[in-house]
Amino acid sequence: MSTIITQDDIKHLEKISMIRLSDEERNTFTPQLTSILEYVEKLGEVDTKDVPETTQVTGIVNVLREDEVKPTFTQEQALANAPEQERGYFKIRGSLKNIAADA
Amino acid sequence: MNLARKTIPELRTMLDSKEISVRELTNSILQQVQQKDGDLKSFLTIFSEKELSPAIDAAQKAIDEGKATDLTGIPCSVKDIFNMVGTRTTASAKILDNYIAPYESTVTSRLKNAGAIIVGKVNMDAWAHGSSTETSDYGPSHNPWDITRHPGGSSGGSASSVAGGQVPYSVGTETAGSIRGPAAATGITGFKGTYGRVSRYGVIAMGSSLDSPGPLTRTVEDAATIMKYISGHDAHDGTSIQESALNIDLSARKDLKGLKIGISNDYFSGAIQPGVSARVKEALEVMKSLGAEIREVEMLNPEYAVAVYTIVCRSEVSSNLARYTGTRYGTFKNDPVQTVYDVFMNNRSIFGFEAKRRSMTGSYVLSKGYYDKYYRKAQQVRTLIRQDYDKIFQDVDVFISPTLPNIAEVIGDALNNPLFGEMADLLICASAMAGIPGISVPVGLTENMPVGMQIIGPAKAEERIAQVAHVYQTATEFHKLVPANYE
Amino acid sequence: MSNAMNGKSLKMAEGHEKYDLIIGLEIHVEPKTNSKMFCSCSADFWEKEPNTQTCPVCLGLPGALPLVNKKAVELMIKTGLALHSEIRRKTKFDRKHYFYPDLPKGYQLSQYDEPICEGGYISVSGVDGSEKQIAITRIHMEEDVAKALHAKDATGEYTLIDYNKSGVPLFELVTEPVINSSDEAWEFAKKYQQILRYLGVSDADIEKGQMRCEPNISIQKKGTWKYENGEIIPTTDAPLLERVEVKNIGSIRFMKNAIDYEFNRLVELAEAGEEIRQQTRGWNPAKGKTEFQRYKETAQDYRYFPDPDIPPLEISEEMIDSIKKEVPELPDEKIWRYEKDFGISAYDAGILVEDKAKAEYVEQIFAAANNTTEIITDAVKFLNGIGASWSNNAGKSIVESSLQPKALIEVITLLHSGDITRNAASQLVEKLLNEGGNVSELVEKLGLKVLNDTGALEKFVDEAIAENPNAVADYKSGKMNAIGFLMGQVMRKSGGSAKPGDVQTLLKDKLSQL
Repeated sequence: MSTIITQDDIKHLEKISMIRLSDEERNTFTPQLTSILEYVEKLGEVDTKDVPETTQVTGIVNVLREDEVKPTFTQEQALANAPEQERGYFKIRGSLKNIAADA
Repeated sequence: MNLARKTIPELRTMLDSKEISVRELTNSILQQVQQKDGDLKSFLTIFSEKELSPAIDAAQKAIDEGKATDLTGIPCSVKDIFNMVGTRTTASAKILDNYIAPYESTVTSRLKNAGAIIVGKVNMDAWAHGSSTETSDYGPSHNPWDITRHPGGSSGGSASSVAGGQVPYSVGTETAGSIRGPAAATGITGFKGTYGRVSRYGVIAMGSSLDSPGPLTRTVEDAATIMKYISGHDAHDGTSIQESALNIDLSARKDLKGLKIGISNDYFSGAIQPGVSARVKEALEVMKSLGAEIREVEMLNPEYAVAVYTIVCRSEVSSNLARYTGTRYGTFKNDPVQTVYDVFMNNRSIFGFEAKRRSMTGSYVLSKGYYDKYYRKAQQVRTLIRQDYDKIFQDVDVFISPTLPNIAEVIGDALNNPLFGEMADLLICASAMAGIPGISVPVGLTENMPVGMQIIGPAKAEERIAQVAHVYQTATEFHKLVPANYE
Repeated sequence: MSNAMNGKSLKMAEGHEKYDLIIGLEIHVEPKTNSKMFCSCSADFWEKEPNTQTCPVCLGLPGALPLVNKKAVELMIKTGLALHSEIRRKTKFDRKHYFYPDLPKGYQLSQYDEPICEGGYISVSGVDGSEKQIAITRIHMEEDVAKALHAKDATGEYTLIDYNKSGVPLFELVTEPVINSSDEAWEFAKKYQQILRYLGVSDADIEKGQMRCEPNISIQKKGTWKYENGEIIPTTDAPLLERVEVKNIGSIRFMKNAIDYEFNRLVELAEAGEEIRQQTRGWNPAKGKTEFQRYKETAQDYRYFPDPDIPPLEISEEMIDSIKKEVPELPDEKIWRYEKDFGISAYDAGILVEDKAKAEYVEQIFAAANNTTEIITDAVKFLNGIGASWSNNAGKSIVESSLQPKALIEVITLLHSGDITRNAASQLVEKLLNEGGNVSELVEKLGLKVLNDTGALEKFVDEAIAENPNAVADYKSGKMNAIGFLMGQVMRKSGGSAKPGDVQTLLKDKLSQL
């Protein structure tokens, strides 16, 4: 039947979404996600055998840009909103220890 | 006399005849904005006369030289979801509190080029997540018909600023109901075009496959006029449809003879407030008297569309919100950190609860092992929804239903429903998922609150639905109703 | 080398015999486009001031929308056609989600289940020297991330980000796990690089990080596994050994070294009965070894879904046909043709076609020779002989020398008509490589024309006999070798213009008369 979400599930989602919930938010959200899933699982009633997916509705294909370089931001414009910067770079505090870029 | 209550053609005449200057008009509007915003809380940013001076002068010059467009010199508000160079652009989210847009959205660029005077940026549900502005990190806007109630959302600040008589019109965005919903909740007109009709470039993304900017106005005529300036192909948006700007001829239809209107019982019963159903049914009677024929059509249960919308939109939201880490723009929390992930985590935890919920729900349904069950399934049902419309539009010209299931609630009443936003969009989700156009017009009051009726047409049939809405509006006076305290 | 080390390598050598090495490669390459993959910022980020080539799209600003670079798509199709891949007629871009400070949007635009190129192969020399086709699984398009620098000050560690590189197009090629030695892996990568350069798709410049290699390496006990339907599966009850991924290696040679290092390390672990855990490692070029980065506990969940901002691509037959016309003759095809048409050995031909500029130069030489096999045979001798050593010494390609293709053929024609000697021809080529010039003028100036004047030759022979009585005596006493010395003397006097055969005949004749 329908999916029951646990606090551990929510903690995992916090991790992959890079979002921290307060205990109160987590207590509220845990049963809510269960009920959201219960609601959307209604779709199980609909027969979708051999039905293609629609991820875009316009029917547009092949929107391609010519390979031309156009003027871009100056360094100053690029960094205008940077919370911190150093020598023309954006600066982010903290180490990269145990952080995996799995690209 | 509140000039914000005038229509665009009325103001056009005043400006062109020099009855009033652009500066006088703008100042008069700014006064309305200031005067009423304490109650309505429509605005997040209000520009000063000084800041607006270059635009005012340019507009006046264009008028003096006979080069005015329909919009030249006429003030308006825009939802704070549009990037406007040099202005704070927040999407009502605190993480963007100090973000100053370094580039311009296509919509605001086109408005400015047409000579529009954008007097300020208005409140919305944070990231457009919601149907009431209650999720705004800056607090809700208020419904001028009853300020204990919300004005609908997510373009709620647009709606309260127009319905409350602060500005003549506003431009908002809709993902599923965010233009039509607040228009209905505040008794004004809201026009959402075919997906791709109005460029998304520079619009802070919510549900990328759904987002559609559009106007909130006093009349269908004004809405059609604004569409003329903001629509049309944009090379900056790959999903922009290859069509020139909409040039709707409202005079082409004088009555509704020969018009076949589809209705579905599911859209008038169940969760729909009886007063709401009643007003829309009365409006249908008016349309019948104008020559329209009403047909009952079979539609998929609208709750399926809500489920599809919930999955698809939250998936896109989880992805679209991933860029907000507070490291290139936006808030920076200087809490002690070990790793850069602590920085991300600290900043992203500024998200309001609704953004957190939607983001995490989206992450869940996209996860390995669940993708097929949720995301793929939803996109398959989306195909069925589109086919559903293809089928009914073979028999009828337009589909009509109430816009919202009920009148605007008292602020705070619905917040704990985790699907509140989506449930308010019950009657809108299907057409939003199909990417087809809809227009909401006021059809009277119930419990002293406005009720909206939406007219939905096939893809690219904006002209058809606008004409139908215009004929109805010409025959009725509901769009002229004004909330007593905010004339 | 110490005895202990000798002992160790001996033990390891025994171990190697028991295991098969199984490698799959992932290679990232930057194609040569002017602008980035999804925006109009310059893609040439090398040594630019930080954050001077950015826009809303590649900075991941709110509301920015991507637009696909047409050239990048065309270059990928070209690459796929050259590598015998299937070009998907319907393809799309997907969002790949993860958080990292160099990834502005929180997702990378990539291709998940509909890559532009599927299948294909590159041939390499297998263990027994025969041709082996290394199957390509796919090549897909993605965007590069920003550059992150790590720094530290009194407040602690921090990261600096430059977005100039963010959004630069990348091709990711993935092979099947069918590579069985570091040599095969090396040759695969080398040939891929060579083909990309031939195609003009990428400079694949290692120095500029335009090509990055990531081998997946595992060892399995011989006879315990098989490769079936793209997977390594066990053939016994024993579970397979886990694989190791070495990330982001900036050179083909280092990749080979890393594979060799890992082979040894894995065999040593297996022989010692230690567990091999699935993990990611990095190559440390300074230490010449791989270093542990992290274990892969669970496969990372990227939550892919189709990008709603980019309409799908439908690649037409017309587009493929027109790109096909731009695919030039590739090295393997040239080698095969040279062998067939001119009898040039595969080895020699391989040197001639090592890069596109050189191959074009060689083609000009062949054309100047009117495709005559005899002349071409000699041209190849000069090119791969004197030419190659000139290149080595000069540290330049022969293309950059002063030797004009026509000049080389003129020299060979003179040689074949007997107007100059082979020795003179070599001198001429050497001269032409360094200084260039007009061949007939040089022959004249250096006096290299064969001495057909019997009187002059007789004079040199007489002089040589007169000046070297000892050698003459030796010859007369039966030391036939002495004639070589005398011939050398005559040749020197003639400045190399005498034909050795003529000299020998005349010398013998004169000596016999003494």
